[in-house]
Amino acid sequence: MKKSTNYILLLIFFVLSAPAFAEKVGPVNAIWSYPAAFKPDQQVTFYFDVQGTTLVGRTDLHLYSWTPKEIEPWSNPTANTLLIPTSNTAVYTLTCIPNTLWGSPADFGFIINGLIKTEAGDFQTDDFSDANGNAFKLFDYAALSSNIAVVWPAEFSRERPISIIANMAAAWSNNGTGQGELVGEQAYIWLGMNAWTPGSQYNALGNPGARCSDVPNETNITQYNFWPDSVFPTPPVIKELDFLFNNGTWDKTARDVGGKDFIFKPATAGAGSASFTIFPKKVTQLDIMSLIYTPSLDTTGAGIPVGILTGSDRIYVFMEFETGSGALIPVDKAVVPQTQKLQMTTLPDGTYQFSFILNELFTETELPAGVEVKKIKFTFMNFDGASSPFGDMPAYTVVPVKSDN
Amino acid sequence: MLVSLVGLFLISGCKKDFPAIGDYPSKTEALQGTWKAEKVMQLDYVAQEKGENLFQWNVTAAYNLTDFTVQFNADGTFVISGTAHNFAKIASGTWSFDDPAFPSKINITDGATSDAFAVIAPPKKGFDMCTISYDRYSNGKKIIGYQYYLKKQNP
Repeated sequence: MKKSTNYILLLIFFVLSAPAFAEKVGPVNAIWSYPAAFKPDQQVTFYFDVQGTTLVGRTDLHLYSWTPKEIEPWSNPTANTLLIPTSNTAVYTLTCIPNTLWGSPADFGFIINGLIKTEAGDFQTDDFSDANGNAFKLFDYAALSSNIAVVWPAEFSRERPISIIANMAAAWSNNGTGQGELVGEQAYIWLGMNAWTPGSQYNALGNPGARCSDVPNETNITQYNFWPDSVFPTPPVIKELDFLFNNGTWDKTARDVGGKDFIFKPATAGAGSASFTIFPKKVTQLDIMSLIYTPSLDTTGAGIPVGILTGSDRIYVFMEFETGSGALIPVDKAVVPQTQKLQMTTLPDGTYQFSFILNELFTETELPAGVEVKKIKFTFMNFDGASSPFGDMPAYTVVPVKSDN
Repeated sequence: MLVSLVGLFLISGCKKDFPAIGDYPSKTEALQGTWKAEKVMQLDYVAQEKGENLFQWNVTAAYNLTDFTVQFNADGTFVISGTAHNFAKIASGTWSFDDPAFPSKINITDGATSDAFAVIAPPKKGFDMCTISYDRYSNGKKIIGYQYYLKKQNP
């Protein structure tokens, strides 16, 4: 066989085999739905956030799933699985009636395993699946049999839709002596957050509150769905949700045991999930470097970010530099006053950020000009500079590189 | 063979009645004007190359970067103004594309120092957005980029 024929056959082989080897682009960043809790025969919009992958901005993405069952043949995706871009180029939607899409009966499964893939099949995300611990979980209305009310998802936050589902027959009256006052009544929810503090904007919905909806084919179950950003003009970090129901005139109410308000704190993935990120990984003295602290919520149920103080307290970052000669220059509060330039700022999502350019951060007496910084160590300290809010957190080290330009 | 020759004759005899495409739209002309940053993303090319999830970070709020204003003039001069941090460290001088038809770089110089912005989304006539990047190099390797999403002022 001629050499050129070999090359042609090889080329045909590669062209034909290319779609079979999809390149993995990383995990789906987050999945949520509106409403957060829904029955599989109701219309729902799923949201898929692919931030951090090379799929951002594409218009040919499809959802593939294998639980409860495959939606469409993998080799022939259709409009049923096409993801629709949103104004956020990393977030895509799929609006559907789950029972219709998956063809499942009413006893629809409570998890969805899947991945997102380009139409040509050349790029795909990692699986979101039960096996990976990140399958998309659906609310099971049967869970209400042991609860008066449930907030879904359990790990709720101000950024994502929330559903509040309550059993009106099991709810208690104002004095806690009777149950079921709101059975058969139109229910309104009176909703606030963070222990009804002035910042909770509990009256944002007006009096008597927001109208709730009966859940189809569920007896005495009422539900309220909302985006926190839509209900509360400037929602703070949600440490707890506080609510109760009334019939519009407040002569009948639905409350927790003993006639108390319902109080729900967001569940968390677990202690120690707070994270520090230094961006970028490789940096010169002329570049912006950002230290990002994402607090976790504690697991005691208090809902307070670990280590983050309240009020006017701030976190400060203290550094020491190893110079070209090997000498260590400590830059602590004795050298650098506690000014804005060492103060972390709070971002709207509750993370703390401190951005700086090494060459511009300090005065010449603090860091002499021309010093080649070999290494930087960061230690996070409380407002008083005497202790770390993070316990025995190790110091973080960055080694700057030289700039060519 | 005869059929092929007749076919070839017929094809070659057809009149070419397509209108001329005309000159390629001038990128140089499209860039002229004053541009202001609306968003600045910092890219970690090393992380991107390794396929890490966190390879870009929005630094718009840092160092007054939305106050970055650059004016590219028709006479080949440019001026960077505003209170934003200027990574290029050249505030004024002359500019030129590396390739006027398909630019990948805007070269800038003040006579003594030269630098460049990479063209990410080139300017187009009739559009008021373009994206350029100031890239940091270390040991000859591109390690960090600052992508300026620019909007034309008074287009």
